Amino acid sequence: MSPRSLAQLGGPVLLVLVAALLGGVASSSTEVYFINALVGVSIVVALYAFVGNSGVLSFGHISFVAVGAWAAGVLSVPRAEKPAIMQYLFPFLRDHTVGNISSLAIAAGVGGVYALLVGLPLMRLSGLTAGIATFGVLEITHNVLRYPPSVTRTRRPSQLRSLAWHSSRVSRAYPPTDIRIPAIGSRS
Amino acid sequence: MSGSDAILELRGVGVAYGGVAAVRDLSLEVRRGEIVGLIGPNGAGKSTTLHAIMGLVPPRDGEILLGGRSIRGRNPESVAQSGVALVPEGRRIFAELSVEENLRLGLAGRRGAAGAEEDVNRVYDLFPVVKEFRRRHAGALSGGQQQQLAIARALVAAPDVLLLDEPSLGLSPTVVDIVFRALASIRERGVTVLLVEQRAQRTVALADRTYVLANGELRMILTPADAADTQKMVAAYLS
Amino acid sequence: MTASLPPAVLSIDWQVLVDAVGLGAVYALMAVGIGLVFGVLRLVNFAYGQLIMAGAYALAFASQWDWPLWAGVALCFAVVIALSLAMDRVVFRPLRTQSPAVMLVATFSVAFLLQSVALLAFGPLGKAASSLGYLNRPVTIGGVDIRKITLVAIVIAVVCLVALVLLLERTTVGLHMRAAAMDFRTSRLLGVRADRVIGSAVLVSALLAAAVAVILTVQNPLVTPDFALRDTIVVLAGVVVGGMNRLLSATLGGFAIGFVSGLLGGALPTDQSQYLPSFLFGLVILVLLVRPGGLFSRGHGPMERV
Repeated sequence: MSPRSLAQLGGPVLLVLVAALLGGVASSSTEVYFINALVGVSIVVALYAFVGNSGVLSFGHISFVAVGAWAAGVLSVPRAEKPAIMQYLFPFLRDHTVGNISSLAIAAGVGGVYALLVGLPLMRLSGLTAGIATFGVLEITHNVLRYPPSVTRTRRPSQLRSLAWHSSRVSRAYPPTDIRIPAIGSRS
Repeated sequence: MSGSDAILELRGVGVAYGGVAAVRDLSLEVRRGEIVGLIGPNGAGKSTTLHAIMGLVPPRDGEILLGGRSIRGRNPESVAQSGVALVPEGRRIFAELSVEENLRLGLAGRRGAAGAEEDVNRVYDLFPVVKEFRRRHAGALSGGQQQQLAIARALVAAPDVLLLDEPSLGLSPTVVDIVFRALASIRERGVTVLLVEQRAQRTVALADRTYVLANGELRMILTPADAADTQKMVAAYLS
Repeated sequence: MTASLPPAVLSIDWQVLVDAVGLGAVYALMAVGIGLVFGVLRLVNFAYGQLIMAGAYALAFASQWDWPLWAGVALCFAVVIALSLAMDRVVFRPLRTQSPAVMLVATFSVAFLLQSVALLAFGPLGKAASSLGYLNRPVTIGGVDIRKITLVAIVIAVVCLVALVLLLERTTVGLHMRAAAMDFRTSRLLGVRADRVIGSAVLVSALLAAAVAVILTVQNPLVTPDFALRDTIVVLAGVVVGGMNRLLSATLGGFAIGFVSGLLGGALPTDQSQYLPSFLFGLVILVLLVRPGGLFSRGHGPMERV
């Protein structure tokens, strides 16, 4: 990397670090804003990796974030509480709970695999057609996650929200890591 | 050199595309009723000159005068409605419209609806093939027929000045004959013509005066007498 | 004695069929509105749904103020036209020379801006536009219950489309609009006035949006800030599926996706009905993979610059 691009990176990196540190010491109510900002940055970088380089507008990328986050979320709920919230999980998902680092890796992996599966057939489209097709992916993902079929049949769609709250509460000790989970899951 | 009846005049015009000068310090004039030629090798800046006159690209320096008034910086439709009609390179016919509709489009450049019928009929006389195919889709016409349609379309706007961008490009010799004869006839009707062409000899022979452009600059001015002078013609092209 | 229609066609009952045609008709009108502006500006107006929302709010307020019906409709048209012209002047025109991606993001932003403004101004709970409620009642034809508004929608759509064809094929302005959609630059060189052509397209597009607003408020009298948002997204998908580069194929695409959406809505069993978007967009993706140029387009793919 040329020294000039290193210098250009310096500003944003510094900003991110400062935000992360401040977020770590902030009270839990303001912490949310820092987390959201950092997640936003991660998503934007991930989006740029694809859209910025190919010029093809993909509306579906955020669905990769959702899938990765969902996977990490499901798996990082403490084992003791799972049966209470989500009664219909597959045994594999129900009996295992992972810590933060592993859930991060899993989120990245699941998100990445999903992106690959979706991207392969859609890659040959371009322009507005690609935009609409990727938006279709977003719609379908959103639809299915909102009303998940038998794999993780939660009692009500809103269970997913309590799920998210739960996993964020569990990993409060490591705020930067927590926010990276959905973010890296969106890299594709 | 500027005559009092110069209907179109360029003074020191310079045009650049993103920092690269396509035309440099070009001065030429077209007097009422003339046919003026503009020839030169590929990339000499001939088309750019026409585009600058039509307002498609803003000149970096210089002045463009129509009937003594500046038209520099005007948008294309405004230039068209001031009495300048362009027959674009490659004809740019609307293939999905009928021949008649293509002509009707040309009427958009008229400075008044009066006399439209007569002008359309005159154009039909000049180019019988356009009249014959007037209900057909313009895309069904051959290259030569489309070229005639393009000229007809420009003429129905009753312009004072007719600009043509390489009308003989890709056409067979017979059709080129038709086009050049039509140009002579157009001059007789009092329309002034600025003809950009690659066919140097025919242009020099037909035009009252021919400017030679190379690398964006004016190199020489030829008259019909020079048309037979092979050496001069070659020099014009290789400059 | 009125004869009865057969109970179903291809095991789809008549009511679902007619409702699907009605939905297709409304979506076709929206597709034309979007397609017209795209044709001359090469710009997809994501904020088109917000125009309809604005018209719907106008109807809601007129209803709240107890205005007579014709006044409410007049207000609706006035608001939609004013907003369209403002959008064109403030957003489209300055950005005309920018890249298609910039224009896309700009219209996206306008859409969200208008939605947020409506949310702030009118609150999330929505207003009721109840003046034409009687059109929601069904009329019985041959033993089948059809809502009057569905029939009205189909009739309005047909009338509008016929009027549009006449405008495009028989008038000078229509000729200029068609030419501008094919080759804007050459059209200008011939003397076609760009601002007139664009203004006409925006105006006609606005008239259609207002008409759609009237129809939709009858069908769903509760007007919220995201009124017609879903419909716009679906219509956009339909326009791309049908073929963006020609008005006819875009309109057919809009009709098709509305029709299919209506059929799916009626045909899906109740425990699967929440998956309607998935089925619909699954179909959309499938069609786009097979025919990226558009189902109804002729030959080459879209000429849009996005």
